Amino acid sequence: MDLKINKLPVPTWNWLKVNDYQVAIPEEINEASYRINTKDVNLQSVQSFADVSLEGIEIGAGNEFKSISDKNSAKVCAVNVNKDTVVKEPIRIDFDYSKEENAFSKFAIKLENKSELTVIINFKGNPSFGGNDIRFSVAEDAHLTVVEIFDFEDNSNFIDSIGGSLEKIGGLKLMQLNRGLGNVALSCYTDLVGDKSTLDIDTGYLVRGNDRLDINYVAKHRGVSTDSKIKASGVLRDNATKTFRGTIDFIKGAKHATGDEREDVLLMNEGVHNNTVPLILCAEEDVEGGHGATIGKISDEILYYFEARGIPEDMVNELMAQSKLDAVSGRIPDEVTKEQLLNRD
Amino acid sequence: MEKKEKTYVEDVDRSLYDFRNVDEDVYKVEEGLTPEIVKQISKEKNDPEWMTEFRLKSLEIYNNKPMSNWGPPIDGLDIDNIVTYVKPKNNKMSADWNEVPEDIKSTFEKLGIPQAERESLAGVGAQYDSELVYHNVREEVAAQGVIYTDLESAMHGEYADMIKEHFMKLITPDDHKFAALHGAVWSGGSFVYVPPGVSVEIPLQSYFRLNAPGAGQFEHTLIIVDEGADLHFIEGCSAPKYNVANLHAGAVELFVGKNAKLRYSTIENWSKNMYNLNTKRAVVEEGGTMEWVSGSFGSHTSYLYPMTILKGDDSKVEFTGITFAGEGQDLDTGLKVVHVGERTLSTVNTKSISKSGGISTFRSAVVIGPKAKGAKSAVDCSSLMLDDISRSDTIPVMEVNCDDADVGHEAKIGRISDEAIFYLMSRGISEEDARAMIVSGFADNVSKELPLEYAVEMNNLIRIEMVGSIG
Amino acid sequence: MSELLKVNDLHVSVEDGEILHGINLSVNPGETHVIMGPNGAGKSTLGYSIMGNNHYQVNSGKIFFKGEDITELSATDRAKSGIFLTFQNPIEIPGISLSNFIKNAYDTKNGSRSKLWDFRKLLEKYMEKLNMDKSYANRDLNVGFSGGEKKKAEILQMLMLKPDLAILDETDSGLDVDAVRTVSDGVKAFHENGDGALVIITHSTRILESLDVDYTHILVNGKIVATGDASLVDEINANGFEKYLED
Repeated sequence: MDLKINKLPVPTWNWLKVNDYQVAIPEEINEASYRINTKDVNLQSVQSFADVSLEGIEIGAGNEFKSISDKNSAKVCAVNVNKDTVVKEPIRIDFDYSKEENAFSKFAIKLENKSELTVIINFKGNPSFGGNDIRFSVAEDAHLTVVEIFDFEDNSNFIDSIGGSLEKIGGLKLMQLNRGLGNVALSCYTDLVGDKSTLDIDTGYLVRGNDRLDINYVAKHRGVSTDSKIKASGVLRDNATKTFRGTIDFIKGAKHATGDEREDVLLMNEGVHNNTVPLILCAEEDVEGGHGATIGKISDEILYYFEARGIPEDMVNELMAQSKLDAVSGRIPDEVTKEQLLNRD
Repeated sequence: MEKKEKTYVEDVDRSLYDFRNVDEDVYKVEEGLTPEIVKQISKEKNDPEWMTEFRLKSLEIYNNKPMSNWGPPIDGLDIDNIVTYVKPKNNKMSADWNEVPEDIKSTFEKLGIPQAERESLAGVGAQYDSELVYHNVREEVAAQGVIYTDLESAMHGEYADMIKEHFMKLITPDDHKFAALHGAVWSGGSFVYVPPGVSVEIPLQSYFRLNAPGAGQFEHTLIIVDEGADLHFIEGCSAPKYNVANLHAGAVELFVGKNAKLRYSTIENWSKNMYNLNTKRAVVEEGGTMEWVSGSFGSHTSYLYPMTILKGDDSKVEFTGITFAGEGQDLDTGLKVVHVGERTLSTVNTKSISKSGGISTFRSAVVIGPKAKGAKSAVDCSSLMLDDISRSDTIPVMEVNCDDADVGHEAKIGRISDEAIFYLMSRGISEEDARAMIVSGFADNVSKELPLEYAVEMNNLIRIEMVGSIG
Repeated sequence: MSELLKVNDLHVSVEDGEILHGINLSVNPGETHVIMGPNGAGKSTLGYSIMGNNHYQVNSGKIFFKGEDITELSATDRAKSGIFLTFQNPIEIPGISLSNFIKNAYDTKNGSRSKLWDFRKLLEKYMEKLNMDKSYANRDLNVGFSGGEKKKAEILQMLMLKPDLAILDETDSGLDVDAVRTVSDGVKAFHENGDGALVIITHSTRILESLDVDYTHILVNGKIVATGDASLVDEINANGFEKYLED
């Protein structure tokens, strides 16, 4: 069955093939298994998102994916953090899909007023199709951090979708790092409902071989003085294809809102395909929005500088590619994960 | 004082563009679109056989193509109500203004065309509804071998083969529904050929005036600038306002030869009942340069994205544009650039302004092809919101299929800062003038690119739009 | 002679609260007043309030200029009636040249279109006086100007517009010795060429060296706590504001 996911909120020319991402998904998808580690937070398994009132919201991958998710029998792992509770130790979730597995997982994350939580999810293995649906609600002055690391093997196919809303002064920080193989679709839809709520997305990727990465981020600014920052930085090699869609949507009334999105892409081989689609939609006068993109290979100046120091070109490429990912890894607010990513030979 | 100025401005607005002539004794085809109407237009035009076939084929494509699923709504446009061909009475194209029928001549006089021709243009073409009424080029320019004439007579003359070779090869009827419509019912427009090495020092201009209510204008402009030649072409358009929808679906095909240079400037000020679904495209050979200067002020709805194909190595394009969307306007404008050749270069600088409920959308596509090694593209777009009932969207796409490319994009959206207004007010400038000054300054990069009299016209348009916008 | 400017018990606040708590100030034509005070005392707020800025809310009190109550007037009208304020950080406005801008203001003030040639001659005369390169006239207003050039461009506007009251807000801050001298020469020229009054807001004294100061006011925590003659400047120079600060 074919599914259209990651739809651009406002379509453009069809010949560019960026209006959505079409993926084939299997008829039967089982419940994924994963390890979840937390000592401070109560987890609950519920039948559906409706049980935790998160059925009606918009999600990053879009409605077609949402209806697949809602029909799927996988249970929802519901995380609730009580008012005024700051959870120090992150919840750690580890997926290791077995070969050719078709599996689905769902998480509902609710933060009550003035609570804080970090969730770190590691995806590994070799799913033929993997789907993950995270929905969140962040209440007043609560702060949620989600870190996702995707490290699949070759021929994997995966769709990750995030969606939810932020109340007054609430914040979501999302870090996504795609460092493995396979075709991966990432998405996040954030409704900045409350005044002064903030969204901060920081994404790094490496796409190789004939793999595809498809990204769709939407920041819907409704509240006054809301702020969104979307940053993506990555490397394309071989015949890889990547599409980045980022939309900052200022709804009328979102006075003093600010939004900014940046993507920088390093292209390393002749066969790469890059699409960068940074939208700003604006129905409010009193806002500041900006977007920027830099796409290209390493500049001759940098190459020359390195060469003058005795470093050959191919090594410069490797260095630059690695340092792009390392820079994102280095910003992950968790020592354990950082060490795991940066401590290598 | 303020009131007086508002009245004055409205007067300027009406007298400048909004006068209409009663269309009596004109020849029109029936409203709507059928093979019979297309055949009738073709007969009226004395088309060569291939053109009649081309028209009918285009109509078929038109009937089979869906409307686009993106862009502003065009529900208000019902092609069955549009008259696709309107010929002015006693029409005979002339190279002498004295032979142009009096009411039409006075129309162009009010628009300042004959005067501009005397002062600063190398040649002028003037189209009224579906037909050209005037075409003339200065002797010294003609002596250089420059051809500037109406496309239809050129099709029967010395350049027949050249036209057949280029006509709708760049914009084909398959491109989109309105390109197909154009192919079926096109009428009027200019043909320009600049021979190798010839540099036309002062600009040529075509002016398109649509007078008939409920009519469409489908002129076709074909410009070939041969190797090493240089041309500046100016296009102006306007129409009086009617309560029924008018349609403009012209096509502009530009061929820029090796090391040649073409600048194409447009100040579009269609009336606010116009659906402007125009298609413009240029292909640039090795070392050639294409420059677009585009000001969009008028029309009810616009879909306008001049496209440049940088085919030859080291070819380049510069695009400078401004869009001003006021009350009731939905202007979707931008550009497309396809880098094919090596070391091709695109530089884009656009501004858009939204006011009084107007919607402006900047839409772009920059495509770097797999063989465009060393290609560079820099896009800079800024949007200004003048109130909170308007809308401004930015929808750029950058597709890069070559590693050896350098693509940059910057966009900003915001409003006029209170600090800037206060600073100007503290020097004795009224708030209204301060805003107009800042908006003119915002648009300055475009007006700088225009010949003086057009820059003045553009600043007038901005003033007309700005004054009375406060309070 | 009637007062040029009279500020009566002026209370001014911004979003965060009241900054000026009852200011009284009288300035006569031709006088030079200096307002000194520590950072955050409300000196710039006083300047903005006299110029008129929506961001600064007058809660109570009145401002009279040439005998007329201007408390409710827009900045435009105050400028037209002869008040001028130099900005600490003049805003950059792309697309409008310095010359074009001053000409607009100049013609508005004088109520008639000046001849371009005459205007340019006058402008260039003053630019020369201020050691400004003529090319600045054609550059976009303040865009890419150095700190010093921005300050000079402000003084240039003052010289061209010949206001009855000029308020200089920290015009000397951030300038090197030469630039301060140039600017203060400009101010002196303004003062000597008519009976324009000056209110100089500063926390240093370098700009004052070549000027005859009539009155010095010490502004602390939104109130004028002391008024004296030129000697007060020297006293502040020697001892600072400590004596005036409330514990």
